[in-house]
Amino acid sequence: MSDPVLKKAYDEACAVFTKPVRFVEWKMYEARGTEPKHLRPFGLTKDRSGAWKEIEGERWIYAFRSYINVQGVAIWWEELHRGPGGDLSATPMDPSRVDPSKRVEPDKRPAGVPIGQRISFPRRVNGHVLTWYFFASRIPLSLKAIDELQKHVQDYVPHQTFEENDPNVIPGHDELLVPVLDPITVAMHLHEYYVAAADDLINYTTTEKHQTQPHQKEVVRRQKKVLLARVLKAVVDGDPANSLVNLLYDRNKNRLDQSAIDNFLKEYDGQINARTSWRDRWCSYLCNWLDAWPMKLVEKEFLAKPKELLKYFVPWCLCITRLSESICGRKLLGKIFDDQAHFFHAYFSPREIEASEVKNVVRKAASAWLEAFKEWPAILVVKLGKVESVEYVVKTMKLHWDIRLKRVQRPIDWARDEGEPGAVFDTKVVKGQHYEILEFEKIEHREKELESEGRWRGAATKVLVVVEAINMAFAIHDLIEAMKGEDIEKQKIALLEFLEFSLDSTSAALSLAKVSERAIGAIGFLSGCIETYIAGHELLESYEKGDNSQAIAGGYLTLTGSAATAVWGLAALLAVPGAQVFLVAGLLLVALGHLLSMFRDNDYETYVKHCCWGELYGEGNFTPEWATRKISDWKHDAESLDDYDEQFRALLNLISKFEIEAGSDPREAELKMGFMPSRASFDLHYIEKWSSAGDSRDLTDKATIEAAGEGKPPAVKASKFEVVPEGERMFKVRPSVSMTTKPLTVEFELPDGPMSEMWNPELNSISLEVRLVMKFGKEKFYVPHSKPASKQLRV
Amino acid sequence: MNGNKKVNAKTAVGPRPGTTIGIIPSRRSVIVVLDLPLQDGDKLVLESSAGAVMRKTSHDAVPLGQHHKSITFDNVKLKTVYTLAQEHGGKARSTIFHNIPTLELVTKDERPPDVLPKYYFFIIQPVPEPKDWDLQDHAFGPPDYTKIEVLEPRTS
Repeated sequence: MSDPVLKKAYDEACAVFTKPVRFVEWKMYEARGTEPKHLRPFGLTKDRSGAWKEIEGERWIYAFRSYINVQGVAIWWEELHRGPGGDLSATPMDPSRVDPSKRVEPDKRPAGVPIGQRISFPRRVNGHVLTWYFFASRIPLSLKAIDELQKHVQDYVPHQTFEENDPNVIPGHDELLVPVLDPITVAMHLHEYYVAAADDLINYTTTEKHQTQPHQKEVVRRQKKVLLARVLKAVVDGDPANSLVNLLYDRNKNRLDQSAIDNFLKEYDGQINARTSWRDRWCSYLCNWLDAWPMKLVEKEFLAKPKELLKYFVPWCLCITRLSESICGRKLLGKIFDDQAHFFHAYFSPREIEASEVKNVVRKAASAWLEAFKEWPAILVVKLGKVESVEYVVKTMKLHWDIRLKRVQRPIDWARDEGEPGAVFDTKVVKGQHYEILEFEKIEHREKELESEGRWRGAATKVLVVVEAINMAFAIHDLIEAMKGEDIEKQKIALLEFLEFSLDSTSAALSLAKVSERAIGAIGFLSGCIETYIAGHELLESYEKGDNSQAIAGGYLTLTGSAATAVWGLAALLAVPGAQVFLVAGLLLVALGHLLSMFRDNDYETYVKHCCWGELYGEGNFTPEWATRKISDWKHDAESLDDYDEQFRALLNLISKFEIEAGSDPREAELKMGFMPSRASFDLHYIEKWSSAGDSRDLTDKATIEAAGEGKPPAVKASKFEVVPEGERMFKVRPSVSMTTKPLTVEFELPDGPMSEMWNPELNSISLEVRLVMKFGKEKFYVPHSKPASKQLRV
Repeated sequence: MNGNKKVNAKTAVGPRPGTTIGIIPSRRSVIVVLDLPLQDGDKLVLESSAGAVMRKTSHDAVPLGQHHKSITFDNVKLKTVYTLAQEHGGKARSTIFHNIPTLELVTKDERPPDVLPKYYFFIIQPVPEPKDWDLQDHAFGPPDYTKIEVLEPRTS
């Protein structure tokens, strides 16, 4: 303070009063934990905009004051009622404020005296700075609660000194805006931020039906490009000559840059991590806040006044929704469930409740109750097991709503065995899993009540929707459970398979459960489960043990740098018809960086130069044999139309390229393979032409390669051919059906002596056409793509 | 207790040690400082133990610099117990303090404590804007949390 006159006046004054104060509310509040030191107001701007809001509805504002430099005790100073229109009235109190015998419970307190919309507070008394604390409640507080506040308000509630530059006060034109702490307002806002952040992450990474078509396309393109980048990075990193990396080109810098792909992936990871960070921040703040002292204080007050409880119960239900999607949310839900004294058990459990107040609250809350209830099955199934948790749901719905749900057990064949060869993964382990599903058997008159207008925008108003969401929680639990336990067969299921099937089965689960209306929540829930799973130690263990299939996923996750960024991309691609080739092949390719040991030509250089990380992107008026379009067409004038599908297919074709060579036997060929998944098939066409049609053979067959068992070569099934694996990357192929009895070669005598051999003159030619067929999900992928590779074994 | 940062003693507010506050013997008056603009409707009441009452409103205030006014209660008696109270709307009354000291010297022990309660703070951590066209979020963009409003749910 530079003004000496004012300084002197301040020092000598027995009191200094603030300018008029108007109350608003905090809406952003940091809750790094539940302890006092973890709680404080915060915002995203220096000027506090967005961190507070005007108060809606009525509040009772409790003002406490203390002398920070004289005494540590806060004293309850005012009870102010703020009406819905903003008018304040002050409860007449004992002027001294310190006589406990003169304090009374709310129903005996005198009516408030109107004092306008603003109030002034002494901010210095006798030269000492006063600190003020304001706590807002939606009902008048009991003396017990006020005593609690007196004890702890300084620990949990921000203070106001009203001094110059007080950061907890917002200066207005002719007034001071003082944000008060209403725990319910803070909880609802933290929930809204959490939902917005969770949706943002989903919208950036995943498609769902409520998105516009352009948005869906944008997401899918992004994920394809990311996966293409990861595969190409594996290719470049695996280049034994280390020359491909020198061909990478950064379009933003307009120059060759060895880090071009790394920079792209880093930028993508940055997007995901920033979004994940916000989602997790809001979620943890919300969960901590719901469990922290201020919220508990008002909860106790409301529970003591059942007639007012709805004012707490409905916002609480709102704040619970979507918590089961997150790890910390499930932890909080589990903690609530474990706390037998928590009001949850009175309002959501199947325990017979006598109190009519409880029933009234549940009935009046209706859709809010329903929304909150659907979060619990994911917890129940862990705490109680599946059978009991289903019973729990059935009984609760019957108890509170007279709605009878039917318990049904249905076999689910996650194996998706379509009876066709060529599936990429062996799925027999999960085949035969079952899960429970609930259905309406009969809906009584309560249904209409339950389906009344939602308590908040977007609240579910259909019992069916919520019940189906509950079903999905059980279904996904089955998938996760399949990955655990003692069963060795189950343990052999790869993490990759888990990802594929659980994500792929999302559509099945969603379809089965008809949860389309809740698609976003479902996707979030699923991804949350997977994140939880990946966060476990199983991955690392299996990776160290060298478990092949898990190691693949492990390699992928290692390369992506974070499990979360990997998972999100997968979800998007699995949701898109036709994108599975990207996903499955991409995963395998990325994991198998060593596959490039079979470099044979300059095709890779051509590819890298002309792909979207190459200098010649958009140039090249030719179509290589491993591409289906001119490579100049990969790039489009409009960036949004660049063809990543074709670039990926070309790369996959290139990597999967194989060679046919003549074997030791005239009818035998050797297939020297490039990349191929553990299960694939060959389309074989063998032609042996003789001068006599009766001796000729034209054999067509499909040879199916079964996944190799541990330490064993893969088994190949074919009816007309013998296909024998030789080592890891070679197959010997020869017909197994009866051929002509005529010899392929005949002996003849050279003019000057010894006998020699020559091809039987009646044999015209022997040729073999081969096409590798890989199946990624439901998509078939042919190598070569346009026509089979052929080899004239004998001419 | 609170885990907030320590307060810089130089910036702590409060009277300087040794300052005389309360009733100033030489002037026999009590001063109250009001921040501008004034809160209308409140009355300040100075009441002696002998029952003498002086009421003043903002209309009695005189300018004190550009941003303040002051109200002075004159003719106070030394060695008499005075109470200063604030009246809202004429009925709700709160005592600002009881027993105004005749002379109080602020001592070193009365400096502000080491910790102060919770301060508003802000963080700036936007989602970075990617250079790559495909990584840009053309549809929505990250949410602006400062603009998000919550509609109160129906609770009746």
